[in-house]
Amino acid sequence: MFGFDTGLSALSAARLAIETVGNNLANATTPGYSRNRVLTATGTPTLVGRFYQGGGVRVAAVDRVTDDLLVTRVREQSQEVERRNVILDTLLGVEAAFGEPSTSGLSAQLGSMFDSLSSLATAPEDISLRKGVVLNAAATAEQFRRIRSDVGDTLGGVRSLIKDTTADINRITESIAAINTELAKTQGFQGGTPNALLDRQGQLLDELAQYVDISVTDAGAGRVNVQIGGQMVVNYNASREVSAQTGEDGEVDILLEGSDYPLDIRSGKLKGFLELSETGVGERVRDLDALANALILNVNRVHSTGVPAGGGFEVLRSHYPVQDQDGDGSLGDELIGSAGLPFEIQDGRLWVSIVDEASGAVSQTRIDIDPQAQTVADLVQSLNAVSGLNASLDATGRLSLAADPGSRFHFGGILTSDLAGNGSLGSSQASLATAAGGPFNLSAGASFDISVDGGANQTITFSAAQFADISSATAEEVAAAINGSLVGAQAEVVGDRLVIRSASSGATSGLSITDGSGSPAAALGLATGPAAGQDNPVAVTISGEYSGDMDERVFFQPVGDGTIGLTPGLQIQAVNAQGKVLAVLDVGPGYSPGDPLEVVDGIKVAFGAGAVSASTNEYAFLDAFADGDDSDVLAAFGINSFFVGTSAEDIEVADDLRADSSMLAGALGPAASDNRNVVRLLALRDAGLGELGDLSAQEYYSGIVADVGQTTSRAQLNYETEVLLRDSFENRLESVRGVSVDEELAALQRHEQAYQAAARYISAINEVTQVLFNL
Amino acid sequence: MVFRVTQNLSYESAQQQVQGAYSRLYTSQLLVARGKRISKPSDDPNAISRLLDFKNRHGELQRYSQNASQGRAFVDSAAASLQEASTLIQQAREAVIQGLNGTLSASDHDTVATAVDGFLQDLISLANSKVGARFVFGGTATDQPPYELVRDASGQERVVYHGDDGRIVSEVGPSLSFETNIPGGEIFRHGARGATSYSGVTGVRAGLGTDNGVGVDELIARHGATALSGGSGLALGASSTTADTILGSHVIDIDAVAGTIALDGGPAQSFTGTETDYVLKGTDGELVHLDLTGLSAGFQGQVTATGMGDLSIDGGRTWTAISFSSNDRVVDSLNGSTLNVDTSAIRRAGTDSVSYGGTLDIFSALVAIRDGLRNADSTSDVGAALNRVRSYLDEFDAGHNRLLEGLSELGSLSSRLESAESRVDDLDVRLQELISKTEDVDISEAVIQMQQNETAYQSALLVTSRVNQLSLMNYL
Repeated sequence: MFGFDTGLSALSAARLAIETVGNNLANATTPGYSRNRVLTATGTPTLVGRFYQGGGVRVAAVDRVTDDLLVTRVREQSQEVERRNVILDTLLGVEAAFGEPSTSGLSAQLGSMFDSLSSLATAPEDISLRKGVVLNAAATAEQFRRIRSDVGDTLGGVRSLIKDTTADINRITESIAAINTELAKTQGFQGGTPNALLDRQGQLLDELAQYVDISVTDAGAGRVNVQIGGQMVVNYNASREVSAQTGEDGEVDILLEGSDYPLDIRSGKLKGFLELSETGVGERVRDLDALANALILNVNRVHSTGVPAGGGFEVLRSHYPVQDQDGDGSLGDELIGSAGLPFEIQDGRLWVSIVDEASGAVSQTRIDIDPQAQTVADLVQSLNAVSGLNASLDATGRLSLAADPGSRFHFGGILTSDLAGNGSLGSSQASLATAAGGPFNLSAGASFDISVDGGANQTITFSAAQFADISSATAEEVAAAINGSLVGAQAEVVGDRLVIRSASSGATSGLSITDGSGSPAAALGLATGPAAGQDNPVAVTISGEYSGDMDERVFFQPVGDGTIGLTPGLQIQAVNAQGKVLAVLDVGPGYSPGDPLEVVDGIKVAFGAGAVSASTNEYAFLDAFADGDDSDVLAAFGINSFFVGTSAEDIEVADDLRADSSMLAGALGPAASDNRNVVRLLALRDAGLGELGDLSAQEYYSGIVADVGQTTSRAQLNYETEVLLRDSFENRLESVRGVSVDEELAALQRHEQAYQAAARYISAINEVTQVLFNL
Repeated sequence: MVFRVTQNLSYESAQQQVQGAYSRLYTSQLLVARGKRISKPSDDPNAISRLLDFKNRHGELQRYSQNASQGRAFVDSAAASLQEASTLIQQAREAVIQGLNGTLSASDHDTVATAVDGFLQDLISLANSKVGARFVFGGTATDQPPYELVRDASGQERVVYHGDDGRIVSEVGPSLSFETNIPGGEIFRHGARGATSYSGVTGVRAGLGTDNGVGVDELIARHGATALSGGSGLALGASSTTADTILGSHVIDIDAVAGTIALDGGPAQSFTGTETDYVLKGTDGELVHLDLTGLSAGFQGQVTATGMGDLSIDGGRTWTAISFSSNDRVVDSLNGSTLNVDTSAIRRAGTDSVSYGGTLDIFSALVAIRDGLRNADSTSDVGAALNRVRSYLDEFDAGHNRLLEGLSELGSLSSRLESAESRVDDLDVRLQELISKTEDVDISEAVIQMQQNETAYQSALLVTSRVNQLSLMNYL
């Protein structure tokens, strides 16, 4: 009864179509659902007589309507959105941690710290202002630590997210492998497509793609193989696990089970997390640490060479312990340059001042620092050798310094209390000097005659053998050559210049030179005299505290001959080593011998009564040092430091200062209102710091904040763009595979009518057959 | 292909539209409510570092302004103290002028001296003025009274300065620092050193070279031994060594015939020729003790008497032999100061009061005046002593003038600080405008924006509700 067969096939096809519509409607809001469509085909025709007759309809397939290309693009775009989202969320967290702009952020706090110093400069002895500086600095340190900890937490959070993500990836790849197994089974039993499994597979792949960039290859029978970073993680029925490992440098690597080689992750959530841990957040942490480190070092450099209230310290202890680097159980044998101290020590000098409390007298000792040659024990010994100071290294590697009872110590205020050397200025011995230091161009065989104390001429002859290079003779070589044959007088090198002094002193001593062949005296620039000594030498006294920026050697040399306080127009010039005249001092009538005269940058000099002479090149000199410690040894050990710590994580105001703000070293001298070191500290506000690429602390911090803002705002923009793109792809995909209720309703009508028509057809066939039966 | 629109699509797109419109509305609402355009760095990353810089500078400027006003308070109170000191000095001067009135008695001099002492004490306490806990005139040594009246080893009262010459420098503007004090050493100072003067008792004069003593001193010339030129039979009296006062060479005119003897052409004294310890007096208190018993009979002529001796300026602690030259250098063993004395015209032993010209600060001048008045009546020549006091008064006036100079310097410091303060305040106002321009919201614009967003939100809601009502179902 082929008529019935045709009708039946139409009926069942229409039913299936209606059921499909029903299924579509039921899943209209199911995420990721692809609408199904019944594909029908004509049945196999049968030859009836000479004609082929149609065999009705048959259901060819129930098709999932989708667009594989779009699915892939949506998947890729979702990865991108997820990645941007993670970055944005984290960066927003970082931005919030900085909390700028605000009246309490680090920027404002740094400003307050310097403002309180500025305030302290107006009344340095005011204990409440001192306290204010310490409190503001402590608040600054706290802000550093808070931001560092918040950003650090974010970094930690990102790292733990990386761990969670790898766990998620492992869960998904395992499921995909399981589906592969299922698919292999279904494929084996029947030819129909297991759409539900494929949808599930698609969802898992979508999910995985959000975490990491994957490449999917068809493994036949609907199965997929998945690769991450070129490595197979799902291979038919098997999956391999990935894991995160944090290296020592803080960098996180993703490793595949059974491999030590890190996977190359290019996008997805995981890439976002990795990027953040490396640059987005990690960089801020490094920037903050660098800023804190530079601030600690530079503030401590200045503070360590200041003088606290009371004019000095009784006891100090270093903050940073010396480490036993060579592991021999002894701390003293470490070179100070490599003793595990947080800051670098340079070649330089340290000046230790010991102040007598009763008299206020200051004695200064210079300690030369060579980080590559000096051990910690050497340093302790040098400090101990300073009279009035006791130094020791305790078992924890910290340096303790204590002054003798009745005295105090400090490392500041370079009080040039003594002449570095008095070549010949107003001395009691007769003297003749050169006008400048060497090298001197002498010729072999050159000679001059010299008479000492009016005695017979002695001839000094220079030979080439006495010099390494006679045309470039050093002052020391010349002195040695002269001393080799001169009797009754002595040649010396004082302050680079050569000076010949008579052994006898007083008015009867005398020196006179007659230049001979080769004119060596002229070549040396040596005065020829005659020079005479005097019974009462001129006392030269230096006082004051040098406040210049650079080390300076100052020579004092008379302009003209005469007696201090007596000879009209008598002047003494102060000249630096480069020959620049720093000051011209009037010491003629009107100058009371012994009155201090201002030279330059806080240095004062006084000349006692007596005769001075320019014609014999008389001179005296002093060395003025700009910094009590240009080796940074104090900052490296943390002696008399303002801040302690090495990074934003542990920056803090030194305990000593927090306990007692009178330890704030705001002075360079003993006076209560001496604010010179406060002013030096204050100069750090706008000073470009070498460690920060010549930016000031404030500028560097503003830069960090601007970077944070820039990155966050870019991340925001990126995120929004990617979301728009994803939405547009999703919309297009939805347009292809989504269920339109209207469409389905229309189809329902159509299929319902087809069903009714088929039923009518069967009924018609039935009637026709009935007619036949009734024949 | 025609773009299929499914219900899901329309719902989702509606949801996005409504969400977007609402989010924009919310953002503009926040903007209006906060009034700040920048509340986090990403709001305007290009402006954030500028904004932070502005805000810091705002804080700095406020600090400068406070520094300047504090500095001004310090300077002004120093000026007030000086003003008071100046009044006090005028009163002291009037009292001294009265005291120098020639008709006053010894007790009147004493009364005036006591009054001067009172002024001295008051002046010292003014020089030790404090603002809060800080001594104003101590330089940077603000924690101890800068002036103290002490009696030195030679018994002389002096006012000693314990302060230093440090200036307290305050930041009062960007790269602008002002001093906010003048050390007392510069206000109550002495002037430029002038010539050293002597009271002229012994005949010494100022030598060559610059002396370095300060204030007033006493130069003691003592007699050691006398020598006589020979030929007359004249010999030294028994108490010559102990009681002679002549120094240098003196001429004795003897007329044995007339029985008269005279020193340096002074009034002739008569003698008998039997005296063994005859006191020959000169006009200025020169004394020579002579033994006339050996005088050649009928001697008529001149004998030269030469007195040798020593000088001391430390109350006789150390002595320097007189060389009768243009420059004898006498050193004070107590403070090391040197006095250059011309002894070529020295005539007699005695005590000269030495005054180092220009080196009397206002305190030393008052001390010298007080002591001068007190001791005037015990000296042989009261008029000369009072004249010396009058010369101290000149030094006193000079000191007063220097104090007034200090006062005017303080005044100009104060006005400079004031102008710095107002300049900084002006800068701050402009800076705040900049800050406001950078971070504040233009309210009218923001409100209009918010209203637009509100309208957009309403439209989105309306459209969504309308579209969602449509379905084929309604028509089947």
